[in-house]
Amino acid sequence: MKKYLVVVYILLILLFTAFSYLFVDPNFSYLKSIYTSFSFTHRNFTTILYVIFIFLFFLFYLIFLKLAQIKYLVYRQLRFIILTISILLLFSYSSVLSYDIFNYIATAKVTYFYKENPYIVMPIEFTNDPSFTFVRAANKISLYGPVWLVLSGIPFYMGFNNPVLMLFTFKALNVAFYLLTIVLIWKISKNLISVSFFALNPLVIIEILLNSHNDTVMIFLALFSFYCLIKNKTKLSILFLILSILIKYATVFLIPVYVYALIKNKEKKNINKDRFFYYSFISMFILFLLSPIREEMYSWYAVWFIAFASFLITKKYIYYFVVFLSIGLLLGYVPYMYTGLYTSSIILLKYIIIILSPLIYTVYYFLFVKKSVLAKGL
Amino acid sequence: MKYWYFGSFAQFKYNLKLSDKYLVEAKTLFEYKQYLLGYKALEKSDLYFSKTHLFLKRAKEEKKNTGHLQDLLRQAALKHTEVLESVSSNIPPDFVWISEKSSPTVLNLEKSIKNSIQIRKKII
Repeated sequence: MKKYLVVVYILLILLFTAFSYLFVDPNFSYLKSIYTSFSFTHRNFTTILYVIFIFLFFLFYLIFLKLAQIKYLVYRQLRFIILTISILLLFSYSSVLSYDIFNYIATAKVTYFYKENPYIVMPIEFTNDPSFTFVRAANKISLYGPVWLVLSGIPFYMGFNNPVLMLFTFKALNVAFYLLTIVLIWKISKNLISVSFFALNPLVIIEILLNSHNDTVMIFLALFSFYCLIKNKTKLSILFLILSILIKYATVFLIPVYVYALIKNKEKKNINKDRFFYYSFISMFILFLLSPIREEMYSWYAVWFIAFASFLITKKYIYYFVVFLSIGLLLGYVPYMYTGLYTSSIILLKYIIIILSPLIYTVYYFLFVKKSVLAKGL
Repeated sequence: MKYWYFGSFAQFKYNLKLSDKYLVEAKTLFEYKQYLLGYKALEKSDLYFSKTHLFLKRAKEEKKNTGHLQDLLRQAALKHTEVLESVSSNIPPDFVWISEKSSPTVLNLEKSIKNSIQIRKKII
């Protein structure tokens, strides 16, 4: 039964990989031969397919979590699933729901090919370069930190300035950090539920393995910093926290938690890991909630707190809240996918969809679960 | 800051920005009759303006499309010329700047501004 479940799940991932190629950008001329315009001309059908995929992913996610809870999913099997989905999605088309990978490539090209400072020169300034025609943020200077810029040199040179190849080398970098993050979660927690909670979360899979966002690089470095702190390697820990901040700046919000842990460490007191990850989760979640002030609440920002929530699996409310919020965030793409518009009303609808599922769960939790727990307690 | 602006495009921007900055400084100083300081600021503005052209040339050698930057430089040159012409009508052609503790300096302001305009007109 379990074997079939894994096979069906992997088939589903394979189908999703194929589905991603329906979204090939018409401006991405390098893949003109496989461009179908399907996702633009059959929006209803594409949206229905997407919603079905999302529900199936979450169904499998909950099943795998349950199997991990009852110890029916063992380390070897989980490793097989994670590696297989990583390999399959490495070959998916990257910009189904976001075009950030093109921004990463463009910034790297400005730096390493044109040898210009990407914090001063925008990709749009290279007017005769056809590889910038499909970059959505070509009119912006680099939005990412210098550490990301340095790291992006690896996939850039490995891509030999070939846009299609670079699409996959950049993806490979993010896949590598996704796997490293999972290894780290395992090393810290020694718990398969924690690993499954992060690694098999459909939002993490879609935003990191499919859309190839660099958030996992930042989170890996932050987690590694905490791992070093737990191992009493303070200097190394500080270095990795700084490196993490210099990827995408968001982990700067972890500094208060980090200072708290550092003080505990200096006082030779054991760091309460649960409390530490709880505060980290709260910090990153607050930052996530504040993100519309800067720009917009993007679903890949959820990776920031999902990584910390994976250490809080005993806190049932957080556990399910994150699952339901992940559903909401992924369904938040539906209005745009269906209409092809990004007007203020579409953005409002997106927020309503995002809020709806965690809200329903919160109401359910406080009306039924919490009440019954209290009643049992009495 | 010069090293932060690495790359021919960035260096072009850096030099143009400084040229703008020192031109504004020169204009203000001339308005307040601080001719020696104004004269020096204008010299700096000229120096940076001349450099912009060198970085455009380098960018072209690197096979970068410089069309938009050439337009930008042309527009900047026009505006600079406009400012310089307005300044020239309000200052004396020559001025002897007598400092308290050093020998007097003869400033050929008219010639200096004409030279500055000439540098800009080469671009236009």
